[in-house]
Amino acid sequence: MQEKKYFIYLISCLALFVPVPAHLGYGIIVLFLHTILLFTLFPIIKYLSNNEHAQFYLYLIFISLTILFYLLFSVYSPVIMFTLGFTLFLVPISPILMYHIEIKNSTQNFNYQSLLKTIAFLNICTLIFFSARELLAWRSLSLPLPKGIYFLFPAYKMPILFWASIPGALCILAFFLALLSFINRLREKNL
Amino acid sequence: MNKKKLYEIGLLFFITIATFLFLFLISIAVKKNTNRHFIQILQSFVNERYTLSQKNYFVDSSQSSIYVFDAENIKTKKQVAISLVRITGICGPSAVIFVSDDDSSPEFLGKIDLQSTEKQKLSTNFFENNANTVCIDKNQITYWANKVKKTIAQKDL
Repeated sequence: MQEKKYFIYLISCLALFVPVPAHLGYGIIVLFLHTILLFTLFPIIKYLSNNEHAQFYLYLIFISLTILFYLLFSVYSPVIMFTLGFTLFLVPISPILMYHIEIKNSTQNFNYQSLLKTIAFLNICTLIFFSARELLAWRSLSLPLPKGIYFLFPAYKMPILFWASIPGALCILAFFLALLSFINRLREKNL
Repeated sequence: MNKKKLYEIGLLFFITIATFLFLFLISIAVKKNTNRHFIQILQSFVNERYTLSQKNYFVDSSQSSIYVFDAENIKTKKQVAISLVRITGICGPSAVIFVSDDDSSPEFLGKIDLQSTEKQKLSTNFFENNANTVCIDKNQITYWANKVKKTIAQKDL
């Protein structure tokens, strides 16, 4: 049951990243914010778990942190933040989901190590997802630099539009999740 | 309602207002820096054709996806407006530039969010021709050109 819960969480998180453009550079930024938000769950669990208004504080903290991240990162690269725009505000949904799926009902004996493992696994999956999208579409990988998204290797003159598009991203997501599910089944058989 | 509940609601209200006030103050501080940075990036993109004004820029409050900057055509010395627009195509959002003067409708210059190495630019003409409009439909360009025109008219009022 626990495995299934995390799998559903993983699907919903990666689905939130589908509208983000198919560049690893954007993925790194989104992932950075995502990790910050997930780590803020630790103090929230510790200090606010018994508070009646914990949920309200949680939403307020996540929204404020996202706006703050948007503003501060705009100083580093305004073009990237301008391009991402409202897409960035989809990211807080994921830690909110995490709070509702896992933490809300198990605050007394909450396993912090399990949360850390989930964060690490989720980050690796997200990086693979964005890299696969960019490699298939542009034959390159990119980094976020102050002037914009910078290609590390020579990219295609014209990308393979399907993989750069949102339907293509959904196909990659489906393939990736099928692969994860297959690995999971194999592991269960061996145990 | 007892006193404790009232105190808690008051505290919630205070924290919310204080948080958004704090974010508003930071946004004011950050905005100047961001616009200066925008001007530098746009200048490097249109370097051979236009000179951007360092001070005059306009953000349409109802259209957070359009920024308009004043510039001058280096050859003709005519005043033009350079607009930075966020267009959401089939590959998600991307930042593009339009240039317009009083006589003609906005001209689409290209995408600004993707940078490449100098070598790459020379070898493949990466940011010229078709690659510039990738993922963006011609109808979308026409639609946003009209929006830019309206925004510039609003700015001049």
